[in-house]
Amino acid sequence: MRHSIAWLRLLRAVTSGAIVIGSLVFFALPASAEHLIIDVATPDAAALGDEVPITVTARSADSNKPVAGATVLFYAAKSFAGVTGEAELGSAVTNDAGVAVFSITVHVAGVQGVRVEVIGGGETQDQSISLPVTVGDQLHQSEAGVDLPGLGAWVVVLVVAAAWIIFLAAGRAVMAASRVPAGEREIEATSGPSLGQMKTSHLATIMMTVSVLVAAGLVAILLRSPETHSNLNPEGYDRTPVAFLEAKYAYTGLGLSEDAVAAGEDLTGRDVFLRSGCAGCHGVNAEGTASAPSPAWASPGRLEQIVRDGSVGMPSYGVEELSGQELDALHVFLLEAQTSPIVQERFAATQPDSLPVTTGDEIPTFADNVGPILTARCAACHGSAGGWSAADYDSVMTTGTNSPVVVPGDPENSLLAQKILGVQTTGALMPPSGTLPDAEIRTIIDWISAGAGR
Amino acid sequence: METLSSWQQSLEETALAPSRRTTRSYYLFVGFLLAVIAWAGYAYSVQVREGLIVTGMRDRISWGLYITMFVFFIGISHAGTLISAILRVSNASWRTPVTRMAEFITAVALTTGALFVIFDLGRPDRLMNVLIHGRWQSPIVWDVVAVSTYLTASVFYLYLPMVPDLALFRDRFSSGASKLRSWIYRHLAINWIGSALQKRHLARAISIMMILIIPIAVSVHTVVSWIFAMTLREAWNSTIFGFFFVAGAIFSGIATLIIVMAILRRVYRLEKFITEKHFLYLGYLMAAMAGVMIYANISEYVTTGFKLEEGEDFLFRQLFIEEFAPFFWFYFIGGLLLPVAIMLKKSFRTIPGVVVTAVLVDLGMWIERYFIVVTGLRAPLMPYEPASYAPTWVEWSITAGGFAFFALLIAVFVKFFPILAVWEMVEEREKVEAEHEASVAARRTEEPA
Repeated sequence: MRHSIAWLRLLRAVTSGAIVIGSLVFFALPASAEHLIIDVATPDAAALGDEVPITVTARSADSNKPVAGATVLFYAAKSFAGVTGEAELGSAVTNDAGVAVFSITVHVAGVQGVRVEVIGGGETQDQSISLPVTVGDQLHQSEAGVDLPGLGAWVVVLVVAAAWIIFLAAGRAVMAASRVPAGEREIEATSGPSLGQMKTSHLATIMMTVSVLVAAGLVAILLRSPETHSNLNPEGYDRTPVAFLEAKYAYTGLGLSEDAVAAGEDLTGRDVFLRSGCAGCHGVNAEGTASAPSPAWASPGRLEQIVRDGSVGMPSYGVEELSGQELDALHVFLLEAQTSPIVQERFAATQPDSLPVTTGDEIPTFADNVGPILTARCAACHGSAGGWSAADYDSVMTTGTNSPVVVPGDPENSLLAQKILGVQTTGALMPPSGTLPDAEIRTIIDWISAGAGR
Repeated sequence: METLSSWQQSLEETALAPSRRTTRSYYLFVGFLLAVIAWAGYAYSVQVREGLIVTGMRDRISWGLYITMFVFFIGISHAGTLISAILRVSNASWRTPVTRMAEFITAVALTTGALFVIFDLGRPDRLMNVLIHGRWQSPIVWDVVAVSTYLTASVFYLYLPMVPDLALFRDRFSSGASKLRSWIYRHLAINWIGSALQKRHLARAISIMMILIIPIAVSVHTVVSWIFAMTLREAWNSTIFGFFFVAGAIFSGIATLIIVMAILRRVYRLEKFITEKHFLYLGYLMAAMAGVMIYANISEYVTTGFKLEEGEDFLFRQLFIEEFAPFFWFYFIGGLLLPVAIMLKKSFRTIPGVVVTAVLVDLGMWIERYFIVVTGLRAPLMPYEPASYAPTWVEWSITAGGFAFFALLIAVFVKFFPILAVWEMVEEREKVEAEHEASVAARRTEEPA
């Protein structure tokens, strides 16, 4: 059931994508004539485990001649951990006949969506196909085991019970020994206290009782055990479809709670954050992890830009996946996150205790002073994600939309200095979490004044 | 030849001596053990507070010293079963002076071993889940069932043959002993007066337990081995694991018994009753078990090594020539080949010779458990870099605490209970003398003819 819903959604996404692309192509036609015509052929249906060839033919619309040497890329729509996107399956190059063949092995049943993109003759064309995959012989069919008639838990129960029953037999013999009637007692056998003064020992009885209780407990575990895991019993399967993180928020990362998300019109920013899979890298409370920084201080504009365009290692989210309204909710959540204890704590923990600032007497260098400061303070966001990068000297000096951000010898006109002082002409104060300590600002400005050397 | 009554008197005095006199060095020793245990308690409190992150165990190598200790102690608990039950069933007459210690090692080692499972839990507060949500399909549940059955059986089996000796203690300590002491003996001796009927009942109980405890003990160590063998790991894919573990358990159990026996013999002057003969016989048994272990090892490694399926080569390399090679070869040469060699050479067949061998065997077997656990988890299941494991101070401390706890229980035991099975030894001696007299009488009647 769940699978078919997922596939229907995917199919819907794929078809709507195709309609959008189709209409784009249609409306684009008058402006620039289409030079490339592609034709994608696949078998009508495939069974699970089949190797399915996808044949792509590219020809020129003007001359109707095959286009050789065009690159063909194959994508499949995938959904994993709450993130939907395309996975590149592979690529091929058209031959002299304009034909490229690519084979995929299907591992999942249902309607498989594949998008084919052809790059050739200075333009790009794409086409989406859907391939119904039937469940033929499954690749892996797990068996519940070999069903041996009559063999079951009762054998284990019987063996354990038998051992304990034998204990009891031995215990009975001990009790009998402790209760030998007075007439049978050979008083001369011992020089101990007279038996009349001695109470009958209850020890044997107590030991027996304890043994019986332990035995009953063990047997009860074994007898009860098939009932403690109802997933082994299909009729009794009623595991809740939602796994919870903390008490309130449904974790939807693994697609366990599609229903909950579909029904929830009033999504909070936190729900959006969790549902969209942000928590996987940015931490459940947006506190940031080793793999991604905290997004708590992202400005609305920056947030939208990164969410829509994606970043290195971060997928992009179209309006389809994350509406403008949801984006606003997300921003509200992130604003709240700025002051949450866990984010504060994590932020404090990631801030270095002491950075190699200069005292003003010596000239700072990039290698010894400024580099470590920028790495610690800026590189979490200004890394390889595009825009200005604080990764190394060259990137600091040359990258960024407003580059150069450092004008050697002229801190007043250096955007880097402006930004950390809060006197910038564009954008906001950096870092967004608040101004840097004075000593670090002074070190950076001294460095720029002194010529911004390596 | 010493008369039976004077021999019996000296035996009784020897058995009573540890409970009568306590030296200062005993208190010092107990104090030392308590200090080690207290330190381990602190280490455990750190572990409970911080979680298993304070240990060297991680996602890939998730078992380490604790599980090593668990397997090791469950293993040495087989001392009691083998020595006592098997020798009793086979009616080996030399067994009587050593059975009590063997049975006690069983109960103590089991208690210590079971504790280490709890130390290995990141959330010990969820221990009860094994009972509440246990499934009989899980080897862990088999383990819980088998170990608790075995613990009950071994405590029972320790207690039964001790009843007549407890009655002896009850009678000897009737005046002038502390209240606690007389209370313990009075209750534990269950009105024992040694009447014929009582003896008959007790003999019945003992014979039931001595037979029952053998299959239980075998099942326990088989199930312990299945914890490994039923986990998907290259190194543990073995059909002989059950047998292998049971043999190893008996092997290390004998070694531990020899060591404990040597220490108690020296401290409590038991030389008259525990003689070189006992050490040698146990030494022979140990050498025989070493032979079985050598065979099992060769059988295991030759069959898997000959095929050398994918993944096995990694295992073989780390075991034989890389990281774990010193461990493996110490175990194989020092722990298996050397004991056999020592027992073969006549000049080494002395008490010190046997004790040194036993120490080697115990060291070797501890190391064997360690590398079975760690190398098995280290061999990667998928093509990633092999993980590494090194125990942290927390694990070493708790491990030291485990050994101290084991020693402490033995030290406390000898203060309260007879370390020699007095009545069994007397009975054996009576039997021997009766036979001797009968043969003398027979010879006399033959002479005139």
